[in-house]
Amino acid sequence: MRPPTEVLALAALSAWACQTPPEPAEAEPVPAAVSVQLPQELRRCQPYAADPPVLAYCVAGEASSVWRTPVDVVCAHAGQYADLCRQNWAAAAAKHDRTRTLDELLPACGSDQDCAFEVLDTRLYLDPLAIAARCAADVPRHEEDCIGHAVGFWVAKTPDLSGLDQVLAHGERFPGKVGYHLGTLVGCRELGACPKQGQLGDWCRRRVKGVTAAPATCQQPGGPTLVGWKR
Amino acid sequence: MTVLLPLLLGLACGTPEPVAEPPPDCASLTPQATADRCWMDQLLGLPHDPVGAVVETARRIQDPVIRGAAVFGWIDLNATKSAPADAARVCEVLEGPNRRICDRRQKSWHLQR
Repeated sequence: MRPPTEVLALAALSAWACQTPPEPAEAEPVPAAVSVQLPQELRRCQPYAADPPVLAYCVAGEASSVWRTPVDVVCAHAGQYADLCRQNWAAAAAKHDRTRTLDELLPACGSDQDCAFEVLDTRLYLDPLAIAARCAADVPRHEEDCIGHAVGFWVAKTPDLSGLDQVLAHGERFPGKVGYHLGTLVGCRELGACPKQGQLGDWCRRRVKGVTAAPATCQQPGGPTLVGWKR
Repeated sequence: MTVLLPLLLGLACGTPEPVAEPPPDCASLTPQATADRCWMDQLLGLPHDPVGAVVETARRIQDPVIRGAAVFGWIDLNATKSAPADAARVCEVLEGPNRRICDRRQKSWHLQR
């Protein structure tokens, strides 16, 4: 029995519908690569000027070499890596130009607290307890580590104990970190004494016990890189 | 018949299985910058695991700037998925000042908490 004419017609129609290649889509216009003209200081990045992510990375790296140029000029071309650019710039400016103050340097970091933390570390050699006093305001997210670096540096400089009250006050808030360094002061430098009570005293005595058992650990300042410090 | 028409057409056409395009052969591209950019695009598409494939692809990129942009881009894309130790391994293929910050971000205690 032959199939009805309508069915044959439909089968032919469906086969035709599926085999017909779709109309070629009109090609989307390819945007021409926009090439940025960079300031002379960033000429090493000019070859990447038409490739935004690569240009941004290049400028961020160059920032550590062109720290004499204002950060806003340099990092205007750093796109998605503006934070990396600012940290490289601020760390280099702080390291190479010791006349620049923290109040001049920190605005370069914007809201990046790790950048600010790194910049504060570069000025520990001047007055570590003055840096400790700035930690809460300048790097609240890393305050405990910032205080730890500062007190560790203060101990490493063999302090005259005039700042001990300030150190003890920080120890009220961060007994673990400060107690460790206080224990180094007491156990390794034979200066001061651990507080008789409280967590700060407990942490301090724990460290004293540690260095008494293993005096070689006195040579480990507890983590911070003591930038600029000379004994 | 009017009812059957869309049904027949649907059955006949179906949905074709997507065919994965093979990755381009970056090594055959010239000049070197074009090959490097090709490797960068491939690297950015790699998953967070295994990290060895990321390191291997990064090492194929000869231009250190393009290599760095690829690595930082990959770390940004995979920041919440990859372990700091894996990201630190990727930092090792970098050169220059950005390497310092890459290491700092992956290894510093204060940034891991």
